[in-house]
Amino acid sequence: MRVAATLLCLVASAAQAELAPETLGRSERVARPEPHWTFYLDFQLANFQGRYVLIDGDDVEYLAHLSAGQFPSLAIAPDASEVYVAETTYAYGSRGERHDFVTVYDTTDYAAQDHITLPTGRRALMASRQRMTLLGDPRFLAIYNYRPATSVSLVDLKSRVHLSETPVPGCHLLYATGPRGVSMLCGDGSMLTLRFDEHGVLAGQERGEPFFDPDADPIKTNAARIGQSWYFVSYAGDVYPVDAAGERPVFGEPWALVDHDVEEAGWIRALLSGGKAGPWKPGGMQLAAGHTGRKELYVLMHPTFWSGGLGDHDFPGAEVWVFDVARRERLRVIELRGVGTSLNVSPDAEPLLFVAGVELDTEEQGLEIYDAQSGEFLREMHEYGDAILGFRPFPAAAFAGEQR
Amino acid sequence: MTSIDRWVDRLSRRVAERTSRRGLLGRLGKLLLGAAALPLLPVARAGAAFPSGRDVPPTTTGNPGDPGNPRSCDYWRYCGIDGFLCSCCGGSASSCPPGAVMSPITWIGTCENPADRKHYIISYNDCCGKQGCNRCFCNRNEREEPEYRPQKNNEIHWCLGTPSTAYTCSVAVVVGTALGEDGAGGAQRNW
Repeated sequence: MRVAATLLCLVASAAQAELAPETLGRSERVARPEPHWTFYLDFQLANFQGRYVLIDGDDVEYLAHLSAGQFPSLAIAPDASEVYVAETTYAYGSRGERHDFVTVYDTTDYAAQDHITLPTGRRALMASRQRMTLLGDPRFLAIYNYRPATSVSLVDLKSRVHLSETPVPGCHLLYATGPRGVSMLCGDGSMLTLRFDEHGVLAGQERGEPFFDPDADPIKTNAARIGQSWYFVSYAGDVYPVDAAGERPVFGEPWALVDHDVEEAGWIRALLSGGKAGPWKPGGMQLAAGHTGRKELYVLMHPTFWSGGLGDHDFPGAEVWVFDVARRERLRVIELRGVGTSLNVSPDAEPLLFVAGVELDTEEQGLEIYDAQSGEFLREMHEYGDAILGFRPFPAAAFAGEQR
Repeated sequence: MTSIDRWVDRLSRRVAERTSRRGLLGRLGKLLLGAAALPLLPVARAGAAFPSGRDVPPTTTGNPGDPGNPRSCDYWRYCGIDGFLCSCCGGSASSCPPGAVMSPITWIGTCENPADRKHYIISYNDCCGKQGCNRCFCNRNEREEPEYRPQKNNEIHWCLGTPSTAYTCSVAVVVGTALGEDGAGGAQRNW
């Protein structure tokens, strides 16, 4: 019987055609982006350089990655045709002449198409994702500079040139506002808004009144964008909505994330946090994300009886709380398998929740993917690189009119 | 049951549900007793293979007035640090490793010295010009403020004013005593 099987096997292999010689020098191309795809920033600790990795959240398939220099920033064209990466490199690795530039990638081959030179030594080198943004008119890209004097660089993506640098003393980071504007957070709790005309020339700037008190309860700078509004989350757990549809930001009434725990809040609040915070607080790096179609805000939350309450504004979340921002109500709680430091949500009708997480029992780190509606854990990726500093799916506009 | 008892009961149930499932009871107990144990938690490294420094041999300053292990994240001066500890990288808590250059521009925090219970002003300078040391990662954020208060922020890469912005490691240099927790004798910060 065994002899017969072996003979059969030999006959079968003899019948197979030989492998044809393959083409040398071939590179894959990437299909049109899908809503469940996301970039994540893999931050390499040994050299503080980044890579943007593109994966498909449906099967954690590794699709492509972009080399990105020191403390990179990413922006994606609304039609998903191009990706822009601002980066900083040195001629001799960690030393020599410094180069600051924006690399333009086509989203079919992810090879560098173009480089736009930025003024040397200005780009802010820090982890925040709010250092670069496309304006409402995606012809223009704004870049935040910190040296430590602050300024905003404007890049014209059509002519591929750096247009101008506008000083913005005392104001920081970038939040796209209106058709061709950016707002910035200033140290007194106000916003400064720059407006550019259709040629990218500065058309005006305006500094508003403080809309939060940075001495009493600072807001985190990683804001969630939902529709035309920004949602900032404060250290203690209040939400500050900022309508950025018009030429100047309009500040909504703040509301509390921790309302639903009000029954537990009273004396426990006093006992655990000296009256400053409720028993649960927001925390993490990319700690808040929004879903425009569903008007949902996702926030990483942790209990202060874990974190101690002091210095815990970057403390990883054990749960993701999901809020309806129109009704200002908590809709559901997604319990993470362990804890997470960063999250984002895909923009489609059946959204995925991406989390940079660690399991507490095994201490195993992973890129975790959940069903954003049911909260069910779906799958994870362990070999993601060094450190995930955030996620960036393709914008909802890229899929407008498509049914998934 | 009074309403307070009910609250306690509900909270303990919630804690029990969460912790037994995650096997965290011991760690949680420690946290409840001493919140300062924070950086020792693996959660500080979520999503990142940050080197914890747990195998690095300890050292001391040799000065009883400056207690603790400068190669450990819970050393008192590191209450607002974010980065690799230079003391694990060929430098010390206040000096850079050979060949690295200390950034002249940085942010200032205040930490309480357990030896004399005084608050000291700490200058958190980055050492720059070489690749990252990649040992003893430590991130503590006591009284740290967001990037729009840059003088109180540790998210900013502080290799500014140095020939290269390549980040090597971080030091915590004592520059004087503070009047209050915020370094200016003003309102106390509880974040």
